Amino acid sequence: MALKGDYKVPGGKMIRVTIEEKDSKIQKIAITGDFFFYPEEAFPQFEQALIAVNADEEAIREAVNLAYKKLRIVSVGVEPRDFVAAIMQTLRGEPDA
Amino acid sequence: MPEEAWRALDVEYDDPYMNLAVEEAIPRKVGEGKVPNTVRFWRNLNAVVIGYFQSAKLEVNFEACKNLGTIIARRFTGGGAVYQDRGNLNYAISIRKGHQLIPEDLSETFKILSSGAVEGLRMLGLNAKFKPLNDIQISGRKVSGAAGSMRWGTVFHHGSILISSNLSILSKVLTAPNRRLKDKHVRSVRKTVTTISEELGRDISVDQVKEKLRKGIEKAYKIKLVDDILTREEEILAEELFQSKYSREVWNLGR
Repeated sequence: MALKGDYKVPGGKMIRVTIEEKDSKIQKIAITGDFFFYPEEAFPQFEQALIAVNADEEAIREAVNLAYKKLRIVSVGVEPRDFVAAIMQTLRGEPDA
Repeated sequence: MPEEAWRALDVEYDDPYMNLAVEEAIPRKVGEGKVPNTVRFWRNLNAVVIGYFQSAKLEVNFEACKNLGTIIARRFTGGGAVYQDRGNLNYAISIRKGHQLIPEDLSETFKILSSGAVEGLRMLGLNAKFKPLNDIQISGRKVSGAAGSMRWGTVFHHGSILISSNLSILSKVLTAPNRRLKDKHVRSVRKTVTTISEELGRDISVDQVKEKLRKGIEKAYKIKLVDDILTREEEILAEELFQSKYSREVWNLGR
């Protein structure tokens, strides 16, 4: 079953996450929202970088940080830690904290 | 030193997909050096325009759109969903990369490239202020939102300004971000969003606002706007983008 969560970033932007988890790993993930993320075309690869990652905070943080570096991402309105927080909140089953 | 001349375009269509195809064609050609830096003014008829990273399903009330004849269209820039009718004026600025106006820090770009619109609104006698990250407010309520991108060798910035839009339709076609707040959504839009007409306490034409916006942009960036039309190359590219991308369901509703 897919887990859904909305995470409000300090400053106002929204990150909306849908995750399917299997064997404590992220099996599917879709992230949407009203943030700015450059280059825009790298976003599918950013999502892809989270597939098969262990569903724990440290592994997710590492995957997010690595993807930012590898894809040379610059985001405005959201930070890497906000994506981590949004994913963790969704995994904990908190739909809109 | 003579003032730098930028192009001013008034190009709009009834079809929001065509409007957004032109929106992409211009910065592409500016980046190629085929046309000068450009400011385009345009409006949509009745559309919800969603950000590049947004989910149409989560942000838009499909049922309300169907009933109201509102078309859902996705733009190529990030940011949030906006409702656009003839009472909403869009401006789009395309500046070739490397221009002295563009700061190193990306989050500063919004402030700098919103300053023309802020200046224009002030010329109308409104106490407009830039509100980070990407809004313009009048007495604490949002009157304009902006989005931007850096691609194709261009720094691109566009914003929409509520002049006399129907806010009750706006609150129906855009969903509340949080399920628990849904019933409060209409009231909440009224509290947080405003229009130029409402702030002035009288009707004002789109042309009058556009005129001040042009002056505000010229003043803020120390440039001169010269009326022009799309080049043939831009028209051809826009048509291609319309066919291959903006008119397609997979682009508009695929996320």
